[in-house]
Order: sequence, then C-alpha cells, then structure tokens
Amino acid sequence: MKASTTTGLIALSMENPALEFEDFDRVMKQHRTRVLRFLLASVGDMDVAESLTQDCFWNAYKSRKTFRGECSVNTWLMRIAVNLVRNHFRSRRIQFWRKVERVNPEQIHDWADRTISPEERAAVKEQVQAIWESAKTLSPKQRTVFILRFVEDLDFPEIAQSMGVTESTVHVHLCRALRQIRKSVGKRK
Amino acid sequence: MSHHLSEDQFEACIIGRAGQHELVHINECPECRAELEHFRKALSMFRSAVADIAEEHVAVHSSDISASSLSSAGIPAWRWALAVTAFVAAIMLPIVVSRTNPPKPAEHLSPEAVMERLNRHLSRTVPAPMEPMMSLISSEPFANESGGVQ
Repeated sequence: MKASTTTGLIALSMENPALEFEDFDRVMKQHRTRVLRFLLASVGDMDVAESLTQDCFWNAYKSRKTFRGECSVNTWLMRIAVNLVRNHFRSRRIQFWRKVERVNPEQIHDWADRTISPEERAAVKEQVQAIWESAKTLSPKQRTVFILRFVEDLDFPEIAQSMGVTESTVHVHLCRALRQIRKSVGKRK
Repeated sequence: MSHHLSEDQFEACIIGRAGQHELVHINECPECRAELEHFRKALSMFRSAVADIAEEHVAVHSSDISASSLSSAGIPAWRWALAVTAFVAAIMLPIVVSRTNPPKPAEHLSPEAVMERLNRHLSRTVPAPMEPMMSLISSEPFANESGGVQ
C-alpha cells in the first residue's frame, strides 16, 4: 500500500516538479549539509555560510512553484547558492563592520581522520591548509568551479547548469584553479 | 625535453579527462603516478575536512532550521534588532523630550486679574505691538513745522 502511494507521488512529481517541494522540511533535511558545505568552502566563514544557507532555502521556498524539473533539486539549490555567493562577494566591501566568525585554520587541522597514521596526517594537514588558503585567492568563478567539482563532486554538465555557463567555460576555470592550487600544495617532481 | 606529463596533461588526469596516452604514461611512470596520487589525496582530504566541519555544524544546529522558521530566517537577526530599536526610539523620543522640556503650567488667574487685563486691553488706542512706536513718536519733539525740511 505504502509502495503504491510512493510510486503515485513520484509519478505526480514527474508531471508537476513543484511537488518535489511539497514536503519542504524533507528537502531541507536532505540538502542542508550539502548546501552548507558548498557555502562554507566558498566563503570560509561559518557564520556567513549558515546565513547564506538559510537564504538559499528561503529563496528556494519562495520560488518553488517555478521549479520545472529541468535539473535535479540539488543542482537547482546549487544554482541559488552560487548566486548567493556571487552577491555576497559583491556586497562584501560594505560589510567591513560586520562581526565575522571565520573558520579557524585550526578547525581545518583538527578534523579527525582515523584512517591514516599521525605522521601522514601531519603532512596531509599541511596540504589541506594550503588548499584552503589557496582557494581563497582564486577568482570567484574559479573557486566556485573548484568547489563544485572537488567538494560537491558535481560533474561538468551539473556545474555548468549551476553556474549558468557552458561546459567549456567550466573546463577553463577548473584548469586555472587547479594550476594555482597545485602551486600552493607543491609539486613532488 | 621532459618525459613526464605536462601541466595540461596532469590537469586532464585530475579532472578525469585524460586520454589514452596520459593513462598509459601514468601506469608506466612511478613519479607521475605518485604526483597524481599525492594531489588527489590532498584534494580528498580537503573535501573531508570541509564536509566534517559542515556536518558537525549541522548536527549541533539540526533543530534550528525548518520550513516554518524560514520566513523569519529570511531576515537576519540584526535587521530585526534594528527595526525594534527604531520602533522603541520612535515611541520613547517624544516622552524623553517632553520630560526634559516640561510644558509650562497653565496660568491660573483670579477673576479680578482677568478683568484688569481685559480693561487694559480695551483701553489701548493702538494695537499692543505698536505701543512702543507710539511712545517714541509722542516723546520726540518735532524739529519744525516742515518736518525737518529746510
């Protein structure tokens, strides 16, 4: 009985994609970590990332009826998040007075990865810190592409949809971002 | 001439768009393979670090957000605070100002004083504002009949 109800709901949401947002609490629960993760990596500030995450869901909630199902809900939310990041960096110049709670570099260092030895961890921590710092110096588009690819694990078409650019543009930005990040991580050769 | 992968080839390997030539080279060249593994591992750890921080935050603040709370979340807390402060200031300002400059108490006059004031007013030949001018004219003697014109 339950299976048939679920099947019915899926069929309905295929016809009317806005039904994906019928249970918005579920949508938020499902996607919140991912949106927050992308925003945190983009702005490097948990306070701002949390605020932008709420803005992202608020914008999605307001415009849920316009969702046409041309992309996944995740890609749609990422597109909203990308625009929020863009607006954030545009308006940041007038936010110099705002109290910021930046992510402490130590926080990046302190995450617990039990799968590697302490010696390996020390070396990797240094590289992670280097990537974190280097990502901040990328242009906004390069940083967004880099994070969508390597933090969010989106493929090229999804990144292009999220950013409203072509796949070849994504490719160009990603290669430039990688070149800069590699410089900071250091090459072994 | 280098026998290792160029920057472009290396980047193609990282983003998963390597050609047959690059893949063969990676298999045969331990240095390039180590370099690729080194960078991939760093990226993977970066991803883990960001993910763990975000997940930890969501776990701590999981009850903070729901669809019903979105309408209030749309407006940051500091804006609410600013609006409330402005509202309170708009109410309090007239009260504070009236306390610092209390209105003059109403003048209570006796009926006699009121009548005297009324009589004085009725006995005026010219309006009160012109009285000083009239006293000036009356006290000053004329220079001559022609009004001072020689």
